[in-house]
Amino acid sequence: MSTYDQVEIEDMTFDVDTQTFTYPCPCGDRFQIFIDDMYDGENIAVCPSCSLMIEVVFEKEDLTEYYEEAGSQPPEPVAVAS
Amino acid sequence: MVGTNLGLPHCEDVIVPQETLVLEKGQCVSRIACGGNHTVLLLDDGTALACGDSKQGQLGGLEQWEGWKVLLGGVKDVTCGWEFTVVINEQNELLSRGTGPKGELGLGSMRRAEEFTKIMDVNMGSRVFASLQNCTVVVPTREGGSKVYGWGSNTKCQLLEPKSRIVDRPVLIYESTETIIEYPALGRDFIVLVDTHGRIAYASGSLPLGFSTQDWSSHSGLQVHCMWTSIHIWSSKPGIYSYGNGNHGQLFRQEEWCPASEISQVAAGSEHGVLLKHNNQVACWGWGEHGNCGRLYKDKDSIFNDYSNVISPLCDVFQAREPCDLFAGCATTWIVTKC
Repeated sequence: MSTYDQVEIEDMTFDVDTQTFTYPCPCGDRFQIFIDDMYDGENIAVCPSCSLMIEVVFEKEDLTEYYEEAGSQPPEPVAVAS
Repeated sequence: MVGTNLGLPHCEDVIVPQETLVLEKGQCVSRIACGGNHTVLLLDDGTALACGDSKQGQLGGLEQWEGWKVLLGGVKDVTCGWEFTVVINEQNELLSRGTGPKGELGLGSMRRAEEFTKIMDVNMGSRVFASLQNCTVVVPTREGGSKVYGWGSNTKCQLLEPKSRIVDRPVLIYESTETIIEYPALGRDFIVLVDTHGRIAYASGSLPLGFSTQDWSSHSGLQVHCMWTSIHIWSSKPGIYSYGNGNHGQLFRQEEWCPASEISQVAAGSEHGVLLKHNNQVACWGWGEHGNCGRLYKDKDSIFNDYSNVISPLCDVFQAREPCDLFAGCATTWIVTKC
């Protein structure tokens, strides 16, 4: 799967309501990726209006501040061994 | 394109050029500025016409209209970014409206303006230029040089060092007492300044791999056009020379496509290019998924996009009778013909 370009997470816009990162697509729509999918290792943001995709450059730790901003938790909290 | 930013009475992508506006005799288009989903067309008499999306305040709040509406009169220059519009009026005031989460409005902490709001005064003869997340103004100085100010995203140090996410007031990015900057060519994360002799005076930001201002330092008579992720330098020799992202056919193939001697005008959109040949043939190349590079094989009658030319080699799209003017936006191509 080839992507159109790479974009760093700091260049993307995070929407706390939809928990989604977006970035302008050259078609006029926006590339989108859900924060929980990124937490699970997904790094491809897709555009709903065309075939272009971007690879989001980020580290898993980068997501912490966005989860805090949204007041939410990652999908699978690390289980504490009993 | 995903909205009504072609000024047509529908939202469908078209792969054959469609007439969107007929002007009265004597009226001329001086510039077409394209945002993410909005378009502003400036007439010689200072009237700015607009079409497309305005939900972010870039054209007129929640107001709905079909086709083109008069946005503003007394406009000397206009440019559009992703969701914002910037003009210079007859009083030489620089004004912006719309939405700019990276400081694209240049209005300090104000991230959204429903009306044109003054950024600053500029000298007579100033011009504005934007890419999706940056805006620049070229101000001629009284001493005969230039000052260039910029604002918006600065994550790739396109405006100043060190990098920052937001620059929400104009900052001086270039100043010369001798060199007169004619225009900045803006990519997504980079800026190239070109002077009145067609020399590359300055470049900043995340420049496409392989591009170096030094390689072009001895050249004059250049025109520089930027797509979001590539630079295209047009000169009499070697023709159009491209650097950067070519994974959707964006890099010009000079030898195969068109001799430099046949080209009379070039324009660049988000990820496609448009050129005019001396025989008044308009041709496009690059990413054409929305019909913006035309149909390669003219085997169908439908005007609507059939996704038959997503990655386009140089493709003839329109034969004009006289020389015409070309503009390009986010997967949109614009041809201004004379009646």
